Formats: sequence, C-alpha cells, structure tokens
Amino acid sequence: MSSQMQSHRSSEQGRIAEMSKDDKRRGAGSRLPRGTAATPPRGDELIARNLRMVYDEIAAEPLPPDLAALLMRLDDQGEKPS
Amino acid sequence: MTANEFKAALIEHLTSLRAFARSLAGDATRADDLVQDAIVRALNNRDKFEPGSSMRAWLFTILRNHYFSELRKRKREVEDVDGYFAGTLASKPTQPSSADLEDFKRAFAKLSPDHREVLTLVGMSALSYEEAAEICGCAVGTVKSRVNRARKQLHLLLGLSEEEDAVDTGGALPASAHAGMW
Repeated sequence: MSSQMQSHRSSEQGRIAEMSKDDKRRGAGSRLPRGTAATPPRGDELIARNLRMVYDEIAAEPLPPDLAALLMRLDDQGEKPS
Repeated sequence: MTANEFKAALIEHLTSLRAFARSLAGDATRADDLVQDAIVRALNNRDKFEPGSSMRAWLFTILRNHYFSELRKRKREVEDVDGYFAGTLASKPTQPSSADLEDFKRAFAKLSPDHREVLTLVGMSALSYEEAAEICGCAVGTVKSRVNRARKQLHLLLGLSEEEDAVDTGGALPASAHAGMW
C-alpha cells in the first residue's frame, strides 16, 4: 500500500467526499481545459473537457448518507458490513 | 490487505465508480445504490483480490457485474440514462460553459450503452484501454473501436468537425488520453 493511501487514511474522517485521491489527482486546477474562450478547443479536446466537467460535477457532489455511513463503518478492526 | 488499506483504495476510486455507475444506470440515486452494493460486495470478497493486480479494475468489474446481474433480474427495467445526464441539466445558464456542458450531456445520453461505458472508463476515469477491456470483458481492440465510434458519434451530435482535430488518431483516442487528457 502506498504512502499516499496511508496518509489518506489518517485524514479521512468527515472528508470522504472531498478527499478522494482521484479528485486530487484530477483536481480542477490540473484539469482545466487547454482551450479557452479566446482559442476554442478542437473537437476531441472539447469532448475531453466536457467529460472532465461531468466527472468534476460528480466529485463535487456530497455522498449520499447511506454511502457515507457505509464507508465510515469500515473501521480499523476490519469490520465487514452486512 | 487490511481493512484500512482497502477502504483507502475504495475512497480513491469512489468518484470514478460513481461516474461509471451513472453511465450504466443513468439515474443518480440508483447509481449510488449500485456503488454501495458494489462496495459491500468488494469488502466481503476482499480476500479474493489478488495483490499486485489492479484494484481499480477489480472494483469496476464488481460494479459492472452487479449492475448486469441486477438488470437481468429486473428484465422489465429500461435504462434511463437521460434520468441523470438529462436530469442534471441546469435550469438556467450560469456561465458560458454551462451551455456547452448541457449540450454535451444531451449528446452523451444519446450514445449507446457500450459507448457511454468506454468513454466513462477511458475518457472520464482515465483507465487504460487494457483496464477497460478487462472490466468490459472484451478485447482491447474492441475498446479502442468503441471509443473511436463514440468519439465520432459525439462529433456528429455536437456538430463538431472531424477536421478540427489535426491529428488522425487512427481509430483511437489521442495520445494524450492516457496522460489524463481524456
């Protein structure tokens, strides 16, 4: 297991939705479209940009309570949810 | 793998899992239920995960298998991708890019399930073609072909010109796809 995951575990409480490393890896800053209003993106770039925007929308959404509760139940003792 | 390590991996891929579930199920609520079920299955079977293999592909495969298993049980159900991709359309424009995104969601919803699936895996979640092929249970070439057809279909639906893309991808995504571009 990587050190990134270990560090992540230590700070996960209450921040599950926001702290996805996927989100950080693909954070908005690093995922801004290369094309701008001044230079419209090419077709594939436009598609890619919109796919990222959809992803970012989902990443920004809060987790539904049931899903958040499920993740929070996974404690250090290796509890298996039923 | 400890429970904590497993949980960290789950969280790492959670957004991608949610996005993938929506590409399959459409409705956001149903998709999150699907993610939850998949997580429970993954946890209860974590001893079956082979260390060194792709955790991400394993999780996506569990989710996908569960989705199609449920779909077979509920033969009456019809996919309602519009439920999410059209249902999340903004009621009013908030910024110039919003209109583009809404157009994109409409177009994306019109793609075939296979095309939505591969675009979500490769384009949105930045999986490799190999990982996507493993998840979808098909050949790498099939994934590439589906991605290319999906891309062309989106070009048509969005009124984009293929000529706008200077690089002929030869039936695949641009090289930048695997560097997080897609």
